[in-house]
Amino acid sequence: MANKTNKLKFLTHPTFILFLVFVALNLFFAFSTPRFFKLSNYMNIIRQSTMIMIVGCGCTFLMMTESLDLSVGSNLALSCMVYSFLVVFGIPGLGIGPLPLWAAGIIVLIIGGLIGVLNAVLVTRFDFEPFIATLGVMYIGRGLALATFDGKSIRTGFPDGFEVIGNDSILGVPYLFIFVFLAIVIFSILHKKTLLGKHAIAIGCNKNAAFFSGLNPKRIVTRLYIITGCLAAFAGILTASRLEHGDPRTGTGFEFTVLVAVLLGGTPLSGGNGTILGTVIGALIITVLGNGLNAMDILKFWQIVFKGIILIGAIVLHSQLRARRRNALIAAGTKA
Amino acid sequence: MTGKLRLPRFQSQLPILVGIIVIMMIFLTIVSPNFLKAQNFSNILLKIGIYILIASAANLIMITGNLDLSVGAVLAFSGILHAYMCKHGIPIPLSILITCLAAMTWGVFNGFTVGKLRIVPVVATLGTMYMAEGLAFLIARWDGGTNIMLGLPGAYTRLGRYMLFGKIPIIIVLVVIVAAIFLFIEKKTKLGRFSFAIGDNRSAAELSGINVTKVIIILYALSALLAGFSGILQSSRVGLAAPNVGRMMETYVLIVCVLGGTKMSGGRGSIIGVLLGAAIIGLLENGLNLLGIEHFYQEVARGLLLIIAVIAQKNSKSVKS
Amino acid sequence: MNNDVIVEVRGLTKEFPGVKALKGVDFDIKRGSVHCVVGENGAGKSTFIKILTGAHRRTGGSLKYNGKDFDPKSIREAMDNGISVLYQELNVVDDLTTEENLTLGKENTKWGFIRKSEGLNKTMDIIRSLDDSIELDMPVDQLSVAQKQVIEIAKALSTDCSVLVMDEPTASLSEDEVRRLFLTVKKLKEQGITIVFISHKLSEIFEIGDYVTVFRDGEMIGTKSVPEIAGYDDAAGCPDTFDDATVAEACTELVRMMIGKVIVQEYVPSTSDYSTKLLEVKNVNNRRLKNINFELYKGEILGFYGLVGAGKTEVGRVLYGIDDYEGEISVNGKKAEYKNVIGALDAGLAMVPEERRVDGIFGQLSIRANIPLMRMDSVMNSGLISRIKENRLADKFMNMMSVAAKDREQAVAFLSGGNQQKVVIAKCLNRDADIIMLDEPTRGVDVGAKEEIHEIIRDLANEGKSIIVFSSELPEITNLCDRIVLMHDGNVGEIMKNQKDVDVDHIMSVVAGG
Repeated sequence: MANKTNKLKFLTHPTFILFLVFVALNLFFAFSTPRFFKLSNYMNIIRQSTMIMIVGCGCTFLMMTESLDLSVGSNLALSCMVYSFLVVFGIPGLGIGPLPLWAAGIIVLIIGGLIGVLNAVLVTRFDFEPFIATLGVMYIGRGLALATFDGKSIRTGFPDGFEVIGNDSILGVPYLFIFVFLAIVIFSILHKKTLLGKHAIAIGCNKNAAFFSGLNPKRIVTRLYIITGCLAAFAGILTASRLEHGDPRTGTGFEFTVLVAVLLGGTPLSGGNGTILGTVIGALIITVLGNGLNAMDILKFWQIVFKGIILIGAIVLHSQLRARRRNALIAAGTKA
Repeated sequence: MTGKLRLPRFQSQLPILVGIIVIMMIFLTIVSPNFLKAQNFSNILLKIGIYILIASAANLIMITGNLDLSVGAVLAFSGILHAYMCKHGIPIPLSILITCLAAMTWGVFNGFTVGKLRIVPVVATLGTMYMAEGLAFLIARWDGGTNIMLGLPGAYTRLGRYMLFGKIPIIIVLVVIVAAIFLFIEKKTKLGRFSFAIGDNRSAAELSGINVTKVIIILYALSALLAGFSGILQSSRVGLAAPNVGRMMETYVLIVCVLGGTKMSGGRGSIIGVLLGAAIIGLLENGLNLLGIEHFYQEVARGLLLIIAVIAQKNSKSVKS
Repeated sequence: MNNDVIVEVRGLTKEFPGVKALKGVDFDIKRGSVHCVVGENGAGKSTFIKILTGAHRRTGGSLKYNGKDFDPKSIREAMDNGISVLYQELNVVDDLTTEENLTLGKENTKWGFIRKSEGLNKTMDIIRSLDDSIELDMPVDQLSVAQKQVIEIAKALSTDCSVLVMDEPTASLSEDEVRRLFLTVKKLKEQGITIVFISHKLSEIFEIGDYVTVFRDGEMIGTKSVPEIAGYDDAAGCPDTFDDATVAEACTELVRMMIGKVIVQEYVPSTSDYSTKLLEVKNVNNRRLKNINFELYKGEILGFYGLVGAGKTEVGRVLYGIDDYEGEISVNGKKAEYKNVIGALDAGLAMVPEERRVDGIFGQLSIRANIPLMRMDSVMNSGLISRIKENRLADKFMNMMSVAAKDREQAVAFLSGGNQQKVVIAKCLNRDADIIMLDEPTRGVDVGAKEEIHEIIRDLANEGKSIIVFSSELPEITNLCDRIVLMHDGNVGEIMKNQKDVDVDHIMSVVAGG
């Protein structure tokens, strides 16, 4: 009997319900418009959701520890600009000419990591609320992104191969897909199999337990900010390559889109366990919604409205499910 | 009324803010000959006026330990809605009334999700932000464009460009009135007192019989009303309504409040602080403009300012305890 | 000197600023025994436990562990030396599995990847020996509270713990689970683990305890073996289980030790009007309360007395509209329909809550701003707050209750505990309700202020207010109240009239469950 209830348990699991929502959304659009249910369109959907998923992987971990990162959008823009600048102009101040792609990539990833360090220092050393700390860093990052090329976009002078990782395929599989797939796999492993993932869950779920087990929450949160910073930088590189230009205004509002995807995926702002899979489905739901409405020739502005409705609806749903589960446990615990 | 103006005991950072403002003004007077001109001051005031209008109510929300991210979107939505209605023949005063009511509906919705359903305010008001912003774009689209500008009645700009005594822009008049009202709310009304109590100790507030949900709903409604009216005013002044005008407004408002000494966790803050915080932001941006510094460094400066403000707040707190 | 004793306490003191929480305590804990520690709130037992487990540092005296002086600087240090605590708030991570919880903080890793821990088999054996229904891959949130306790116990044992402190482990367990836990305790004892068992349910001591130490007012009142308390001279003639009558009598004896000699001071009857019934509670039940019945009359002071956990606070919470209940409550002859605090206040009830820091004070606000919060009308002038009225009100209450503060603008957070309590009471009195409930009105208040607060309560009753006092201090109840409701384990044991020579022994036997 216990087995049976365990088997059916996934039916009420938030991620599964989310998946049903995703399927229903797909069915709805498939029946509403002939343009939606096509392989090429799905390729598009995945492409559109790439950055959300990649950065969302890091943000899921952060939010499990009760933190969040609003600087990912401007971090992405800064990386996009710096990467473009380095491969087109190099570092003029030091008399260094255009850098090769890999070298520029490494520098950008380091800068992304440093932004993560800045966030982490503010949150862990200065005891900032993550919301305020990363908001401040968001402004700084956006300003620097604009300052990189005097507020202008970089549109020409890119070396050969610049567009490859963002647009080309290998054996018919776009590089972007490979990156997303790798990110999902790596972070799922990090989540389930490594110390970092386990300790992140422990910190978010029960601070006292983490303390008595000798964990160091500050160190773990710092690492997660650095990882998220690097992921945002990587997404910036991919964006530059995909658009074939460096745009300092890219990624505006991106931080909130990621936040919504992670929240939809069932990771609460109050910390505790979340899942990478949930975040992925959350990202897909947001993208499918936009894409499907587009295909139906419904104004794209509706998707902003729907994003809001879905966000609030999902949070209410998640909190209800969580409360129900907790009540069931309490009822089971104290029958007396 | 009480004879002399007494600054509340807990806001010892207010003199520091005044000091910062004085130093900034002295510095700008020295380095820029254009700073002390009346025109420049009027520019600064026009710029920070909207922030103050919105922040005055949003500040009370922060004092209860919540926050409102939807103000920018509600501002844009209201501007567009007002323009749309005026363009389609609804009399301007009626349109203003309807728009204000519509704006307040957003606020009541926020208050319901935050106060009644107890959803984290960041998430709840983010949801409202998306809905209001999306609708703003949609209304503009229904009108047939990205902005609403052509075809507005001639009297449309009368409100926004009105000058009291032919000299003082209406927004400045409003800022003074609204600031006075909120100073009044803060000191003289139940609403203000209950806001502080809720932010200080929500559980004790509930046990003392304060209707926490009601207070939160009223505050969100007020915040949305002011955001809505600001939207009307702004679109009337420039004679055009654009759905993207409110972008980042919510974070400016947040910065203004934090600079003014309002604690994110609630229980402390004041409208005077908001005024001073807005003045600092205004002077900073104006100064950077006068010095010919590129606009993107202003974003960097804004981020730094926010971080410094919070550090200063934390330090003043640790000194006390 | 003797190997029997694992913890030796001599002259142990602990002083907090202004308070002496432990005033020189001596006793021994025998190796491999179940040593129960009892005492009312503030008796000093939790301070002792905190010193033993490294949460607090002692300020004087000595504590020897395994014959050596022991002064742990942190909880970790105590744990490393073999003293672990099973807290009431369980320190398990719900979102992890049993295995992950067991290895948390001491994982065996390579390159950051978690590998199977070798020590796990040993821990698993411990768990199996205690509860064989727990599987390694079970998510902890599917386990019952008792099972989670087993996991924590196993975790402690796997770090070679020799003393396990259990802080009210049965508080949130069902009867069935309590039985299982006691089985676990017996097994641990067989393995030679020393258990320090803290509980407010005295009868439990006679099921599992070997020794019991009673604390009162920061002092050790006595350490006795359980057979001794139960009236057997030597352990040899003592049965394994005690019959109910013996337990009841022994509990009464324990309560006597916990409460001490009650000096019945001048009890002055209030001018109660027993013809006007203000409050009637009929057959009220909920999760913690069983069939509560009582009445409250005009001008009367009604006292609720019982040990910690007997359900006094829960009665207050029901009356104040916080908790759900079944049954009937009538206020002023009308059936109470309210479901929240606002409704209760409107019906004419007001309460001073038990936890003033959490539920009572507004720390960042001034005294002046705190006092009118339950009835803003008292300081309003045509719809607006009048500073003059506020000042007058604050001055009135500050004089009446002699609040010691710099001035009325001082933030309440910076007042002493007693003065904070006075502000909370003032806030409640200002409500001018017909029925005033005070939950532990003088906890953490110095003697002088206590007498003042009592005087105020008497005055209120004589003015015609009806008062309910919930207290775990018997002298407070016997000095103040006209009638006393004695509670035990969620039940009303007896309702008695107070008098000058009230039978304190009888009270003790009722609240002990006799």
